[in-house]
Amino acid sequence: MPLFSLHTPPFTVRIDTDSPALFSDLARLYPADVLRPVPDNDHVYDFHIDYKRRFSGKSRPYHFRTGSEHFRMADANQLIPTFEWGLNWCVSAYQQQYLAIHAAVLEKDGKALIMPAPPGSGKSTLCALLMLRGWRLLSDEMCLIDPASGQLQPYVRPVSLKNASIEVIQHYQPGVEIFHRTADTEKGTVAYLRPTDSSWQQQNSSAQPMWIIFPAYQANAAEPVALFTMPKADTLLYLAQNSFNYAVFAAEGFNLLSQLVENTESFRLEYSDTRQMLELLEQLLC
Amino acid sequence: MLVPLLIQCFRDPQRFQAKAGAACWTDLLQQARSLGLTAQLQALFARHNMLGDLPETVQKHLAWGWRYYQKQRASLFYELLQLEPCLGQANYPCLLLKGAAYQALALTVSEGRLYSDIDLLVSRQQLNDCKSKLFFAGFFEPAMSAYDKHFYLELSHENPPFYHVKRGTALDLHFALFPLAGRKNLVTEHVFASACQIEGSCFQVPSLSFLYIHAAIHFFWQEEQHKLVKDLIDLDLLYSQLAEQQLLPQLLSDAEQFGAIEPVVNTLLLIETLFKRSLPDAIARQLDQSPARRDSARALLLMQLQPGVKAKIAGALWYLRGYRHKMHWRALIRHIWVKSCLAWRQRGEPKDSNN
Repeated sequence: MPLFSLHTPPFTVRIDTDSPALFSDLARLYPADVLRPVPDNDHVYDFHIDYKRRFSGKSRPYHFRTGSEHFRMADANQLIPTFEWGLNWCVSAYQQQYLAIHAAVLEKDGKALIMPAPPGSGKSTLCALLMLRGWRLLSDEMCLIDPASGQLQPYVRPVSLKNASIEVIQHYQPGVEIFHRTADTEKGTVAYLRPTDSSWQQQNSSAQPMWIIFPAYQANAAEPVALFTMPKADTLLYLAQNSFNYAVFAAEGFNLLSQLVENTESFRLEYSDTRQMLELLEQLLC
Repeated sequence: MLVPLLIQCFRDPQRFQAKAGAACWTDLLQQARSLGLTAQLQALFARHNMLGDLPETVQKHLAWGWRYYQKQRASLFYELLQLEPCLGQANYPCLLLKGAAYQALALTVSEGRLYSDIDLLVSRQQLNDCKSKLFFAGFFEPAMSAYDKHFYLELSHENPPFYHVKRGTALDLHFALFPLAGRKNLVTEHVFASACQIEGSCFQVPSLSFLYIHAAIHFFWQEEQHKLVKDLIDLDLLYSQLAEQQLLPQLLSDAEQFGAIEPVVNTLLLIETLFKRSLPDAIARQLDQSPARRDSARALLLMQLQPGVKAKIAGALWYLRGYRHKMHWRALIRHIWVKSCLAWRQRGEPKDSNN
């Protein structure tokens, strides 16, 4: 399987690898119309990824590169996490079509929820739980704002779970299928959750932003759940700081974020009890 | 000879577009992105009124690149405006070089061209004064060893790089166009003599022919291999503008008097070969008869543009050749000896985070 392709709107990728396992491993995460065994001859791909063994990487032999840009080396048993991180790197480093913010995005009844948060805040856990409760996943990593319409563009990819969040998901959704649990990566143990069918089916449908929620998991919090309204100026600054390309969009970026914050409600959500938090959240949003 | 895709495209964009299939466009986009040439491709196709005829994905990527370039260009002009009050007090010429000069003159080569730092040239006598002016404008030199500082000031052609304390802007302050250790005896005064003032600014820019000469020197007398294609495209665009303005005889005359005829002759021959440019008859005759032709060096360079093992061997030879040009062998031996002694003395010491 030397050359195959991944069609995850709005970006497509052509992959050149000598790994005998990469395609079949990815096939457990991506549906057949998205992951294709042969690149389309008539399609111009956004990124070409070279993911091959190289002599210089004796202990971590697989090198993830696009063009002459090297991203990272990977062990044979860590091919999937490095591939997923590498793909995020390609998009966050090079795309300038959308204003991109490091955040999870979900949608229900035509209204989208943006969850920007630093690692360890429980963003991916909350994103996965909401998806499993029927919300449509747009992305667990990247909020893409279309500058022409202000709408959110889906970029549906597997949900990445890290360390304790894997057990949390299994606890709240027994029987859920977790794929490629990989220990001892740079981010600890990681595993992946397949997006739901409805998320894949609507991967071309944009959504109207309605809420911005900053989750913060606090194990020793006095209250099991606490919700605070965020000042709009603080929300704008936080979004700008967590954007991959705010500086490139310059004045247009400021106007886009101002418009986004003006037209949405923003909250800070502190929680120690996941079940109560989910109930409160769905009460508030639905 | 297999010509790199980007060169094929800049050589004749209409012909390239007529022949390119989807896989070829995918490859072109990757190569352009790796070399930071996406916005220059946008500018190329815009100059030829071809943007609307390109595949949708290609148009999209060119627009990404152009957006990034616009941000960079705005940053460059902002930085130059910040430098104006400080260097406006200088009673000696301050010349912009390379990317900043191309932008200031709005040359074709500047359209879509990214930059990583600002290059300035002042005379050696004014170096200390200029440094103190930059210091009071917020620029600093990171700490370095006494030998490294000596290396910069006595063997290279520039001061150690400056960085702005708040904005992080990188600024290279040159006092010559080529490392002194190369002992090329280039007459830097000619660059100043060719310069003209930018209207409404304290900065000057070298003439177009000296901008070409500077680019040719750093292409032909150097060891780097990773951006040969990008540098060749810069040279071709500068060449085209010189040819349009009928300045090629001036270029050869300036290069001769400056002491850099060899890089100019050989880069012109490379442009003729790779970009299929028709040199004017008089210039072609002059190049044919020039004692500065270096056929083996050009062959070495062309080999590096091919895929395979030959390119790697050619690259290794190019590396050695480049160092021979940049450092006279006596300077090189002394440099290697001093650096080895310093490394030996410092073995086992914790590494300084600044180095």
